[in-house]
Amino acid sequence: MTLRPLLGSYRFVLGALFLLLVLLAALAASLAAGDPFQTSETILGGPSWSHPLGTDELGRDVLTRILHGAATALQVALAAPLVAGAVGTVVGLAAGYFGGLLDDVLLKLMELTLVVPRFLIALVAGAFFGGHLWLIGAILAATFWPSTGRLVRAEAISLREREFVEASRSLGASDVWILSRHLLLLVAPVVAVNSSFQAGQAALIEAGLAFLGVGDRNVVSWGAMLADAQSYLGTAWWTSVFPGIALALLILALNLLGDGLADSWNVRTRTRV
Amino acid sequence: MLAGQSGADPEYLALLRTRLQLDRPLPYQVASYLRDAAQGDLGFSLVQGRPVRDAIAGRLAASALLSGTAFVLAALLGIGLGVIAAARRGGAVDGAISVCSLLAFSLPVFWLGQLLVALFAVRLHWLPAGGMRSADGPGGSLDVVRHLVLPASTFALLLAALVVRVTRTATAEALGEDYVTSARAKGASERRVLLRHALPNALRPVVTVLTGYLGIILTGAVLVETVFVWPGLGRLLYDSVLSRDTPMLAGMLLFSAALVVCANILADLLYRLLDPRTRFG
Repeated sequence: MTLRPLLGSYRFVLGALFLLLVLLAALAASLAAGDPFQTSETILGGPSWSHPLGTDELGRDVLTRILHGAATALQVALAAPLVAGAVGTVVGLAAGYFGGLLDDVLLKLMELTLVVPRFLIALVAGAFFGGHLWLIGAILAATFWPSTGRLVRAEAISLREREFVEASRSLGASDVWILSRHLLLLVAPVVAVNSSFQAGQAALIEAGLAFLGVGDRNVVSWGAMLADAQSYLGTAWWTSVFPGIALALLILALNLLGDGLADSWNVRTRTRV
Repeated sequence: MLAGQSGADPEYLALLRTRLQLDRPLPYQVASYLRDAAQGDLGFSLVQGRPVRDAIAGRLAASALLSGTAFVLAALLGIGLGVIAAARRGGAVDGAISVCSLLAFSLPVFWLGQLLVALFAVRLHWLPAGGMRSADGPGGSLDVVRHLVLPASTFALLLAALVVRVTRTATAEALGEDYVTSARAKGASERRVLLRHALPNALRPVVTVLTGYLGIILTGAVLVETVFVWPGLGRLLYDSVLSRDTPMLAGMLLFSAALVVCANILADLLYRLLDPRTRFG
Protein backbone atom coordinates (compact mmCIF):
# COMPACT_ATOMS: atom_id res chain seq x y z
CA MET A 1 0.00 0.00 0.00
CA THR A 2 2.05 2.84 -1.25
CA LEU A 3 1.11 6.08 -2.88
CA ARG A 4 3.33 5.83 -5.95
CA PRO A 5 1.17 3.48 -8.06
CA LEU A 6 -1.74 5.86 -7.56
CA LEU A 7 -0.13 8.42 -9.82
CA GLY A 8 0.05 5.80 -12.54
CA SER A 9 -3.68 5.25 -12.42
CA TYR A 10 -5.35 7.68 -14.81
CA ARG A 11 -8.62 7.15 -12.94
CA PHE A 12 -7.13 8.28 -9.66
CA VAL A 13 -5.41 11.30 -11.20
CA LEU A 14 -8.52 12.36 -13.10
CA GLY A 15 -10.69 11.87 -10.01
CA ALA A 16 -8.31 13.89 -7.88
CA LEU A 17 -8.29 16.70 -10.46
CA PHE A 18 -12.10 16.85 -10.64
CA LEU A 19 -12.35 16.80 -6.86
CA LEU A 20 -9.80 19.61 -6.68
CA LEU A 21 -11.98 21.59 -9.09
CA VAL A 22 -15.00 21.24 -6.80
CA LEU A 23 -12.85 22.13 -3.78
CA LEU A 24 -11.68 25.27 -5.56
CA ALA A 25 -15.29 26.14 -6.35
CA ALA A 26 -16.19 25.87 -2.67
CA LEU A 27 -13.17 27.96 -1.79
CA ALA A 28 -14.13 30.58 -4.35
CA ALA A 29 -17.63 30.69 -2.88
CA SER A 30 -16.36 31.57 0.58
CA LEU A 31 -13.73 34.04 -0.67
CA ALA A 32 -15.00 35.90 -3.66
CA ALA A 33 -18.42 34.93 -4.94
CA GLY A 34 -21.43 37.08 -4.12
CA ASP A 35 -24.60 36.34 -2.19
CA PRO A 36 -26.29 33.25 -3.68
CA PHE A 37 -29.70 34.45 -2.50
CA GLN A 38 -29.36 37.91 -4.09
CA THR A 39 -32.26 38.38 -6.52
CA SER A 40 -32.13 40.65 -9.56
CA GLU A 41 -34.30 42.04 -12.34
CA THR A 42 -32.96 39.50 -14.83
CA ILE A 43 -35.47 36.66 -14.49
CA LEU A 44 -34.41 33.43 -16.24
CA GLY A 45 -31.80 35.32 -18.21
CA GLY A 46 -29.57 33.23 -20.46
CA PRO A 47 -25.79 33.04 -20.13
CA SER A 48 -24.27 36.50 -20.59
CA TRP A 49 -21.20 38.53 -19.52
CA SER A 50 -22.74 39.62 -16.23
CA HIS A 51 -24.24 36.17 -15.55
CA PRO A 52 -21.95 33.61 -17.26
CA LEU A 53 -24.29 30.69 -16.49
CA GLY A 54 -27.54 32.67 -16.59
CA THR A 55 -30.03 33.45 -13.84
CA ASP A 56 -32.89 31.47 -12.31
CA GLU A 57 -36.58 32.23 -11.87
CA LEU A 58 -35.86 34.76 -9.09
CA GLY A 59 -33.04 36.40 -11.00
CA ARG A 60 -30.35 34.76 -8.86
CA ASP A 61 -26.97 34.17 -10.49
CA VAL A 62 -26.60 30.47 -11.36
CA LEU A 63 -22.79 30.50 -11.23
CA THR A 64 -22.72 32.01 -7.73
CA ARG A 65 -25.24 29.45 -6.58
CA ILE A 66 -23.26 26.58 -8.09
CA LEU A 67 -20.10 27.74 -6.28
CA HIS A 68 -21.94 27.91 -2.96
CA GLY A 69 -23.58 24.57 -3.68
CA ALA A 70 -20.12 23.03 -3.96
CA ALA A 71 -19.43 23.85 -0.31
CA THR A 72 -22.73 22.26 0.73
CA ALA A 73 -22.18 19.10 -1.28
CA LEU A 74 -18.58 18.72 -0.11
CA GLN A 75 -19.44 19.09 3.57
CA VAL A 76 -21.81 16.13 3.44
CA ALA A 77 -19.75 14.13 0.97
CA LEU A 78 -16.58 14.36 3.04
CA ALA A 79 -17.79 14.41 6.64
CA ALA A 80 -20.22 11.48 6.59
CA PRO A 81 -17.88 8.87 5.05
CA LEU A 82 -15.01 10.08 7.26
CA VAL A 83 -16.97 9.47 10.46
CA ALA A 84 -18.45 6.24 9.10
CA GLY A 85 -14.99 5.05 8.02
CA ALA A 86 -13.56 5.62 11.49
CA VAL A 87 -16.45 3.95 13.33
CA GLY A 88 -16.67 1.10 10.82
CA THR A 89 -12.93 0.43 11.06
CA VAL A 90 -12.93 0.30 14.86
CA VAL A 91 -16.05 -1.87 15.08
CA GLY A 92 -15.00 -4.14 12.20
CA LEU A 93 -11.51 -4.66 13.63
CA ALA A 94 -12.89 -5.42 17.08
CA ALA A 95 -15.49 -7.85 15.74
CA GLY A 96 -13.13 -9.64 13.37
CA TYR A 97 -10.08 -9.75 15.62
CA PHE A 98 -11.67 -10.75 18.92
CA GLY A 99 -14.48 -12.89 17.51
CA GLY A 100 -16.78 -14.75 19.87
CA LEU A 101 -19.79 -13.11 21.46
CA LEU A 102 -18.57 -9.59 20.66
CA ASP A 103 -18.44 -10.52 16.96
CA ASP A 104 -21.93 -12.03 17.06
CA VAL A 105 -23.41 -8.94 18.64
CA LEU A 106 -21.61 -6.44 16.41
CA LEU A 107 -22.35 -8.40 13.23
CA LYS A 108 -26.06 -8.57 14.06
CA LEU A 109 -26.04 -4.86 14.80
CA MET A 110 -24.43 -4.12 11.44
CA GLU A 111 -26.82 -6.35 9.52
CA LEU A 112 -29.80 -4.85 11.29
CA THR A 113 -28.71 -1.33 10.39
CA LEU A 114 -28.41 -2.27 6.74
CA VAL A 115 -31.99 -3.49 6.45
CA VAL A 116 -33.71 -0.11 6.29
CA PRO A 117 -32.65 1.92 3.23
CA ARG A 118 -30.73 5.03 4.27
CA PHE A 119 -32.45 7.28 1.79
CA LEU A 120 -35.79 6.40 3.35
CA ILE A 121 -34.53 7.17 6.87
CA ALA A 122 -33.05 10.46 5.73
CA LEU A 123 -36.24 11.37 3.87
CA VAL A 124 -38.49 10.70 6.85
CA ALA A 125 -36.14 12.39 9.33
CA GLY A 126 -35.73 15.37 7.03
CA ALA A 127 -39.49 15.77 6.70
CA PHE A 128 -40.12 15.64 10.44
CA PHE A 129 -37.12 17.47 11.86
CA GLY A 130 -36.11 19.66 8.94
CA GLY A 131 -33.25 18.56 6.73
CA HIS A 132 -30.42 20.38 8.47
CA LEU A 133 -27.11 19.60 6.87
CA TRP A 134 -25.67 18.09 10.06
CA LEU A 135 -28.74 15.85 10.43
CA ILE A 136 -28.35 14.51 6.90
CA GLY A 137 -24.65 13.98 7.56
CA ALA A 138 -25.34 12.22 10.85
CA ILE A 139 -27.91 9.89 9.30
CA LEU A 140 -25.55 9.05 6.45
CA ALA A 141 -22.69 8.37 8.85
CA ALA A 142 -24.98 6.21 11.01
CA THR A 143 -26.02 4.13 7.99
CA PHE A 144 -22.67 4.02 6.17
CA TRP A 145 -20.52 2.55 8.93
CA PRO A 146 -21.99 -1.00 8.88
CA SER A 147 -20.94 -1.64 5.28
CA THR A 148 -17.41 -0.47 6.10
CA GLY A 149 -17.53 -2.48 9.29
CA ARG A 150 -18.47 -5.70 7.50
CA LEU A 151 -15.68 -5.34 4.96
CA VAL A 152 -13.12 -4.59 7.68
CA ARG A 153 -14.39 -7.50 9.78
CA ALA A 154 -13.92 -9.91 6.88
CA GLU A 155 -10.37 -8.62 6.36
CA ALA A 156 -9.57 -8.81 10.05
CA ILE A 157 -10.75 -12.42 10.28
CA SER A 158 -8.37 -13.51 7.54
CA LEU A 159 -5.53 -11.35 8.87
CA ARG A 160 -5.63 -12.42 12.51
CA GLU A 161 -4.52 -15.97 11.66
CA ARG A 162 -1.50 -14.80 9.64
CA GLU A 163 2.01 -15.62 10.78
CA PHE A 164 3.18 -12.06 11.33
CA VAL A 165 0.39 -11.60 13.86
CA GLU A 166 1.50 -14.80 15.54
CA ALA A 167 5.08 -13.59 15.53
CA SER A 168 4.13 -10.22 16.96
CA ARG A 169 2.13 -11.88 19.68
CA SER A 170 4.96 -14.23 20.60
CA LEU A 171 7.17 -11.17 21.02
CA GLY A 172 4.77 -10.02 23.69
CA ALA A 173 2.72 -7.51 21.69
CA SER A 174 -0.65 -6.60 23.15
CA ASP A 175 -3.91 -6.78 21.21
CA VAL A 176 -4.03 -3.00 20.96
CA TRP A 177 -0.50 -2.94 19.53
CA ILE A 178 -1.29 -5.61 16.94
CA LEU A 179 -4.53 -3.91 15.95
CA SER A 180 -3.10 -0.42 15.67
CA ARG A 181 0.35 -1.24 14.24
CA HIS A 182 -0.43 -4.14 11.93
CA LEU A 183 -4.08 -4.64 11.10
CA LEU A 184 -5.09 -0.99 10.88
CA LEU A 185 -2.66 -0.33 8.04
CA LEU A 186 -3.68 -3.47 6.20
CA VAL A 187 -7.40 -2.73 6.25
CA ALA A 188 -6.85 0.93 5.30
CA PRO A 189 -7.09 0.33 1.51
CA VAL A 190 -10.48 -1.37 1.84
CA VAL A 191 -11.74 1.47 3.99
CA ALA A 192 -10.39 4.12 1.62
CA VAL A 193 -12.02 2.54 -1.44
CA ASN A 194 -15.32 2.01 0.31
CA SER A 195 -15.32 5.53 1.73
CA SER A 196 -14.73 7.03 -1.72
CA PHE A 197 -17.82 5.34 -3.11
CA GLN A 198 -19.76 6.30 -0.01
CA ALA A 199 -18.74 9.92 -0.52
CA GLY A 200 -20.25 9.78 -4.01
CA GLN A 201 -23.39 8.26 -2.52
CA ALA A 202 -23.52 10.97 0.14
CA ALA A 203 -23.35 13.74 -2.45
CA LEU A 204 -26.10 12.04 -4.43
CA ILE A 205 -28.34 11.58 -1.39
CA GLU A 206 -27.88 15.16 -0.20
CA ALA A 207 -28.85 16.41 -3.64
CA GLY A 208 -31.72 13.93 -3.85
CA LEU A 209 -33.18 15.07 -0.55
CA ALA A 210 -32.89 18.71 -1.57
CA PHE A 211 -34.50 17.82 -4.91
CA LEU A 212 -37.48 16.40 -3.02
CA GLY A 213 -37.68 19.56 -0.92
CA VAL A 214 -36.56 18.08 2.40
CA GLY A 215 -32.98 19.37 2.31
CA ASP A 216 -31.46 22.26 4.22
CA ARG A 217 -33.21 25.47 3.20
CA ASN A 218 -30.52 27.73 4.69
CA VAL A 219 -27.80 26.68 2.28
CA VAL A 220 -27.64 26.40 -1.50
CA SER A 221 -27.93 22.83 -2.74
CA TRP A 222 -27.49 21.63 -6.31
CA GLY A 223 -30.42 19.30 -5.76
CA ALA A 224 -32.71 22.20 -4.82
CA MET A 225 -31.52 24.12 -7.88
CA LEU A 226 -32.50 21.16 -10.06
CA ALA A 227 -35.90 21.00 -8.36
CA ASP A 228 -36.48 24.68 -9.13
CA ALA A 229 -35.39 24.11 -12.72
CA GLN A 230 -37.96 21.34 -13.22
CA SER A 231 -40.62 23.92 -14.20
CA TYR A 232 -38.43 25.70 -16.77
CA LEU A 233 -36.96 22.79 -18.72
CA GLY A 234 -38.33 24.11 -22.01
CA THR A 235 -37.54 27.79 -21.52
CA ALA A 236 -34.35 27.99 -19.44
CA TRP A 237 -32.15 24.93 -19.98
CA TRP A 238 -29.22 26.54 -18.13
CA THR A 239 -31.03 26.33 -14.78
CA SER A 240 -30.97 22.52 -15.05
CA VAL A 241 -27.89 21.74 -17.14
CA PHE A 242 -25.18 23.55 -15.15
CA PRO A 243 -26.09 22.44 -11.59
CA GLY A 244 -26.52 18.92 -12.98
CA ILE A 245 -23.06 18.99 -14.54
CA ALA A 246 -21.58 20.18 -11.24
CA LEU A 247 -23.26 17.38 -9.29
CA ALA A 248 -22.34 14.73 -11.85
CA LEU A 249 -18.74 15.98 -11.87
CA LEU A 250 -18.41 15.63 -8.10
CA ILE A 251 -19.92 12.14 -8.06
CA LEU A 252 -17.79 11.12 -11.04
CA ALA A 253 -14.68 12.45 -9.25
CA LEU A 254 -15.38 10.38 -6.15
CA ASN A 255 -16.19 7.24 -8.16
CA LEU A 256 -13.01 7.70 -10.20
CA LEU A 257 -11.03 8.04 -6.99
CA GLY A 258 -12.61 4.87 -5.66
CA ASP A 259 -11.86 2.98 -8.89
CA GLY A 260 -8.32 4.30 -8.96
CA LEU A 261 -7.62 3.31 -5.37
CA ALA A 262 -9.16 -0.12 -5.92
CA ASP A 263 -7.04 -0.72 -9.03
CA SER A 264 -3.79 0.48 -7.51
CA TRP A 265 -4.17 -1.32 -4.22
CA ASN A 266 -5.90 -4.33 -5.73
CA VAL A 267 -8.94 -4.02 -3.49
CA ARG A 268 -12.18 -5.78 -4.19
CA THR A 269 -15.33 -4.49 -2.60
CA ARG A 270 -17.90 -6.95 -3.77
CA THR A 271 -21.11 -5.12 -3.12
CA ARG A 272 -21.22 -1.41 -2.85
CA VAL A 273 -24.20 -0.80 -0.65
CA MET B 1 -52.85 15.89 13.58
CA LEU B 2 -55.33 18.69 13.91
CA ALA B 3 -52.58 21.24 14.15
CA GLY B 4 -53.36 24.36 12.21
CA GLN B 5 -57.06 23.61 12.13
CA SER B 6 -58.92 25.95 14.42
CA GLY B 7 -62.18 25.28 16.16
CA ALA B 8 -61.45 21.72 17.24
CA ASP B 9 -63.94 20.88 19.97
CA PRO B 10 -62.14 19.74 23.18
CA GLU B 11 -64.66 16.96 23.64
CA TYR B 12 -64.07 15.77 20.08
CA LEU B 13 -60.32 15.84 20.71
CA ALA B 14 -60.75 13.77 23.86
CA LEU B 15 -62.89 11.30 21.93
CA LEU B 16 -60.27 11.04 19.20
CA ARG B 17 -57.52 10.45 21.78
CA THR B 18 -59.46 7.56 23.25
CA ARG B 19 -60.48 6.21 19.86
CA LEU B 20 -56.91 6.31 18.55
CA GLN B 21 -55.59 5.01 21.88
CA LEU B 22 -53.30 8.01 22.23
CA ASP B 23 -54.08 8.04 25.94
CA ARG B 24 -52.45 4.66 26.38
CA PRO B 25 -48.76 4.42 27.41
CA LEU B 26 -46.24 4.44 24.56
CA PRO B 27 -45.02 0.84 25.06
CA TYR B 28 -48.61 -0.29 24.78
CA GLN B 29 -49.06 1.66 21.56
CA VAL B 30 -45.91 0.17 20.05
CA ALA B 31 -46.89 -3.34 21.10
CA SER B 32 -50.37 -3.01 19.67
CA TYR B 33 -48.99 -1.60 16.40
CA LEU B 34 -46.61 -4.53 16.07
CA ARG B 35 -49.35 -7.02 16.92
CA ASP B 36 -51.59 -5.57 14.22
CA ALA B 37 -48.71 -5.41 11.75
CA ALA B 38 -47.96 -9.09 12.29
CA GLN B 39 -51.54 -9.79 11.24
CA GLY B 40 -51.18 -7.68 8.12
CA ASP B 41 -52.92 -4.60 9.51
CA LEU B 42 -50.68 -1.55 9.12
CA GLY B 43 -53.15 0.92 10.54
CA PHE B 44 -55.27 3.62 8.97
CA SER B 45 -54.06 6.66 7.04
CA LEU B 46 -56.20 9.67 7.81
CA VAL B 47 -54.59 11.62 4.98
CA GLN B 48 -55.33 8.97 2.37
CA GLY B 49 -58.64 8.14 4.01
CA ARG B 50 -58.08 4.41 3.81
CA PRO B 51 -56.06 1.62 5.41
CA VAL B 52 -52.29 1.85 4.87
CA ARG B 53 -52.25 -1.67 3.46
CA ASP B 54 -54.79 -0.81 0.77
CA ALA B 55 -52.95 2.38 -0.16
CA ILE B 56 -49.69 0.43 -0.59
CA ALA B 57 -51.41 -2.35 -2.52
CA GLY B 58 -53.04 0.19 -4.81
CA ARG B 59 -49.69 1.57 -5.91
CA LEU B 60 -47.84 -1.72 -6.12
CA ALA B 61 -48.79 -2.49 -9.73
CA ALA B 62 -47.49 0.79 -11.16
CA SER B 63 -44.24 0.44 -9.21
CA ALA B 64 -43.80 -3.17 -10.24
CA LEU B 65 -44.35 -2.25 -13.90
CA LEU B 66 -41.75 0.52 -13.84
CA SER B 67 -39.17 -1.32 -11.76
CA GLY B 68 -39.75 -4.65 -13.46
CA THR B 69 -39.22 -3.17 -16.91
CA ALA B 70 -36.14 -1.32 -15.74
CA PHE B 71 -34.72 -4.46 -14.13
CA VAL B 72 -35.17 -6.63 -17.21
CA LEU B 73 -33.68 -3.95 -19.49
CA ALA B 74 -30.79 -3.36 -17.09
CA ALA B 75 -30.03 -7.07 -16.71
CA LEU B 76 -30.02 -7.70 -20.48
CA LEU B 77 -28.05 -4.59 -21.38
CA GLY B 78 -25.73 -4.76 -18.38
CA ILE B 79 -24.80 -8.44 -18.59
CA GLY B 80 -24.46 -8.28 -22.38
CA LEU B 81 -22.14 -5.29 -22.39
CA GLY B 82 -20.27 -6.55 -19.32
CA VAL B 83 -19.46 -9.86 -21.02
CA ILE B 84 -18.38 -8.11 -24.23
CA ALA B 85 -16.12 -5.79 -22.23
CA ALA B 86 -14.59 -8.73 -20.35
CA ALA B 87 -14.00 -10.66 -23.58
CA ARG B 88 -12.22 -7.67 -25.14
CA ARG B 89 -10.35 -6.79 -21.98
CA GLY B 90 -7.95 -3.89 -22.46
CA GLY B 91 -9.16 -3.13 -25.96
CA ALA B 92 -10.93 -0.09 -27.34
CA VAL B 93 -14.39 -1.65 -26.98
CA ASP B 94 -13.72 -2.43 -23.33
CA GLY B 95 -12.44 1.09 -22.76
CA ALA B 96 -15.51 2.66 -24.32
CA ILE B 97 -17.90 0.45 -22.34
CA SER B 98 -16.04 1.10 -19.10
CA VAL B 99 -16.00 4.86 -19.56
CA CYS B 100 -19.68 4.97 -20.52
CA SER B 101 -20.72 2.83 -17.57
CA LEU B 102 -18.71 4.95 -15.14
CA LEU B 103 -20.33 8.09 -16.56
CA ALA B 104 -23.83 6.62 -16.37
CA PHE B 105 -23.08 5.32 -12.89
CA SER B 106 -22.22 8.86 -11.77
CA LEU B 107 -25.24 10.62 -13.26
CA PRO B 108 -27.83 11.74 -10.72
CA VAL B 109 -30.95 9.88 -11.79
CA PHE B 110 -33.25 12.87 -11.39
CA TRP B 111 -31.03 15.07 -13.53
CA LEU B 112 -30.84 12.44 -16.26
CA GLY B 113 -34.63 12.26 -16.12
CA GLN B 114 -34.88 16.02 -16.50
CA LEU B 115 -32.58 16.04 -19.50
CA LEU B 116 -34.58 13.29 -21.20
CA VAL B 117 -37.85 15.10 -20.50
CA ALA B 118 -36.42 18.36 -21.82
CA LEU B 119 -35.24 16.66 -25.00
CA PHE B 120 -37.90 14.07 -25.86
CA ALA B 121 -41.00 15.61 -24.31
CA VAL B 122 -40.55 19.39 -24.26
CA ARG B 123 -38.49 19.90 -27.40
CA LEU B 124 -39.29 16.99 -29.71
CA HIS B 125 -42.78 16.13 -28.43
CA TRP B 126 -42.14 12.45 -29.08
CA LEU B 127 -43.13 11.17 -25.68
CA PRO B 128 -45.25 12.38 -22.76
CA ALA B 129 -43.38 14.25 -20.00
CA GLY B 130 -44.99 12.48 -17.08
CA GLY B 131 -47.81 10.43 -15.67
CA MET B 132 -48.86 6.92 -16.55
CA ARG B 133 -51.94 7.53 -18.71
CA SER B 134 -53.11 10.41 -20.87
CA ALA B 135 -56.05 12.32 -19.46
CA ASP B 136 -57.60 12.42 -22.91
CA GLY B 137 -56.98 10.23 -25.94
CA PRO B 138 -57.53 6.56 -26.61
CA GLY B 139 -55.74 5.18 -23.52
CA GLY B 140 -55.09 1.45 -23.48
CA SER B 141 -51.83 -0.40 -22.97
CA LEU B 142 -50.03 1.38 -25.81
CA ASP B 143 -50.64 4.65 -24.01
CA VAL B 144 -49.09 3.24 -20.81
CA VAL B 145 -46.09 1.98 -22.78
CA ARG B 146 -45.54 5.44 -24.26
CA HIS B 147 -45.54 6.88 -20.75
CA LEU B 148 -43.28 4.09 -19.53
CA VAL B 149 -40.45 4.61 -22.03
CA LEU B 150 -38.70 7.58 -20.42
CA PRO B 151 -38.91 6.64 -16.72
CA ALA B 152 -38.05 3.01 -17.40
CA SER B 153 -35.03 3.84 -19.57
CA THR B 154 -33.79 6.41 -17.05
CA PHE B 155 -33.99 3.88 -14.24
CA ALA B 156 -32.61 1.08 -16.43
CA LEU B 157 -29.59 3.10 -17.54
CA LEU B 158 -28.56 3.70 -13.95
CA LEU B 159 -28.98 0.04 -13.01
CA ALA B 160 -27.31 -1.19 -16.19
CA ALA B 161 -24.24 0.91 -15.44
CA LEU B 162 -23.87 -0.90 -12.15
CA VAL B 163 -24.50 -4.33 -13.70
CA VAL B 164 -21.92 -3.72 -16.44
CA ARG B 165 -19.25 -2.88 -13.89
CA VAL B 166 -19.96 -5.94 -11.77
CA THR B 167 -20.34 -8.33 -14.72
CA ARG B 168 -17.11 -7.15 -16.35
CA THR B 169 -15.04 -7.60 -13.18
CA ALA B 170 -16.53 -10.99 -12.34
CA THR B 171 -16.28 -12.38 -15.89
CA ALA B 172 -12.72 -11.16 -16.30
CA GLU B 173 -11.85 -12.86 -13.05
CA ALA B 174 -13.57 -16.09 -14.06
CA LEU B 175 -11.67 -16.09 -17.37
CA GLY B 176 -8.43 -16.38 -15.40
CA GLU B 177 -9.53 -19.51 -13.54
CA ASP B 178 -8.12 -22.97 -14.10
CA TYR B 179 -11.35 -24.48 -15.36
CA VAL B 180 -11.37 -21.96 -18.19
CA THR B 181 -7.85 -22.95 -19.15
CA SER B 182 -8.83 -26.62 -19.13
CA ALA B 183 -11.95 -25.91 -21.18
CA ARG B 184 -9.78 -24.12 -23.73
CA ALA B 185 -7.29 -26.99 -23.68
CA LYS B 186 -10.09 -29.37 -24.53
CA GLY B 187 -10.74 -27.32 -27.63
CA ALA B 188 -13.83 -25.41 -26.59
CA SER B 189 -14.48 -22.34 -28.72
CA GLU B 190 -13.87 -18.95 -27.15
CA ARG B 191 -17.59 -18.26 -27.41
CA ARG B 192 -18.42 -21.44 -25.54
CA VAL B 193 -15.79 -20.76 -22.90
CA LEU B 194 -17.22 -17.32 -22.34
CA LEU B 195 -20.92 -18.15 -22.29
CA ARG B 196 -20.93 -21.67 -20.82
CA HIS B 197 -18.00 -21.60 -18.44
CA ALA B 198 -17.10 -18.08 -17.37
CA LEU B 199 -20.45 -16.30 -17.40
CA PRO B 200 -22.46 -18.66 -15.15
CA ASN B 201 -19.81 -18.27 -12.48
CA ALA B 202 -19.74 -14.54 -12.94
CA LEU B 203 -23.47 -14.15 -12.42
CA ARG B 204 -23.35 -14.57 -8.67
CA PRO B 205 -22.20 -11.04 -7.84
CA VAL B 206 -24.61 -9.74 -10.48
CA VAL B 207 -27.45 -11.44 -8.64
CA THR B 208 -26.21 -9.88 -5.41
CA VAL B 209 -26.29 -6.40 -6.90
CA LEU B 210 -29.65 -6.76 -8.62
CA THR B 211 -31.45 -8.26 -5.64
CA GLY B 212 -29.77 -5.68 -3.44
CA TYR B 213 -31.45 -3.02 -5.53
CA LEU B 214 -34.73 -4.91 -5.52
CA GLY B 215 -34.81 -4.39 -1.78
CA ILE B 216 -34.44 -0.65 -2.01
CA ILE B 217 -36.69 -0.24 -5.03
CA LEU B 218 -39.18 1.74 -3.00
CA THR B 219 -36.72 4.49 -2.29
CA GLY B 220 -34.67 4.05 -5.42
CA ALA B 221 -37.78 4.81 -7.43
CA VAL B 222 -38.90 7.82 -5.42
CA LEU B 223 -36.68 10.20 -7.40
CA VAL B 224 -37.54 8.71 -10.79
CA GLU B 225 -41.23 8.65 -9.94
CA THR B 226 -41.09 12.27 -8.77
CA VAL B 227 -39.45 13.53 -11.96
CA PHE B 228 -41.88 11.63 -14.17
CA VAL B 229 -44.94 11.95 -11.91
CA TRP B 230 -45.32 8.16 -12.00
CA PRO B 231 -48.13 6.99 -9.67
CA GLY B 232 -46.11 4.33 -7.86
CA LEU B 233 -44.97 3.60 -4.33
CA GLY B 234 -42.14 6.11 -4.48
CA ARG B 235 -44.60 8.86 -5.28
CA LEU B 236 -46.83 7.70 -2.39
CA LEU B 237 -43.81 7.82 -0.10
CA TYR B 238 -43.03 11.35 -1.24
CA ASP B 239 -46.62 12.51 -0.73
CA SER B 240 -46.70 10.89 2.71
CA VAL B 241 -43.50 12.68 3.67
CA LEU B 242 -44.90 16.03 2.59
CA SER B 243 -48.21 15.51 4.42
CA ARG B 244 -46.48 14.10 7.54
CA ASP B 245 -48.64 10.99 7.22
CA THR B 246 -47.10 9.02 10.10
CA PRO B 247 -49.05 5.73 9.83
CA MET B 248 -48.34 5.65 6.10
CA LEU B 249 -44.61 6.27 6.62
CA ALA B 250 -44.34 3.69 9.38
CA GLY B 251 -46.13 1.20 7.15
CA MET B 252 -43.85 1.87 4.21
CA LEU B 253 -40.76 1.65 6.40
CA LEU B 254 -41.91 -1.77 7.55
CA PHE B 255 -42.89 -2.78 4.02
CA SER B 256 -39.53 -1.80 2.59
CA ALA B 257 -37.67 -3.66 5.34
CA ALA B 258 -39.76 -6.73 4.48
CA LEU B 259 -38.87 -6.21 0.82
CA VAL B 260 -35.16 -6.20 1.68
CA VAL B 261 -35.53 -9.49 3.55
CA CYS B 262 -37.49 -11.04 0.64
CA ALA B 263 -34.85 -9.84 -1.82
CA ASN B 264 -32.16 -11.51 0.29
CA ILE B 265 -34.10 -14.78 0.30
CA LEU B 266 -34.55 -14.51 -3.48
CA ALA B 267 -30.81 -13.97 -3.82
CA ASP B 268 -30.11 -17.13 -1.81
CA LEU B 269 -32.49 -19.11 -4.01
CA LEU B 270 -30.84 -17.78 -7.16
CA TYR B 271 -27.38 -18.66 -5.83
CA ARG B 272 -28.57 -22.25 -5.51
CA LEU B 273 -29.81 -22.18 -9.06
CA LEU B 274 -26.51 -20.78 -10.34
CA ASP B 275 -24.06 -22.71 -8.22
CA PRO B 276 -24.63 -26.43 -7.56
CA ARG B 277 -22.13 -26.33 -4.71
CA THR B 278 -24.53 -24.27 -2.60
CA ARG B 279 -27.35 -26.78 -2.98
CA PHE B 280 -26.56 -28.60 0.25
CA GLY B 281 -28.56 -28.49 3.41
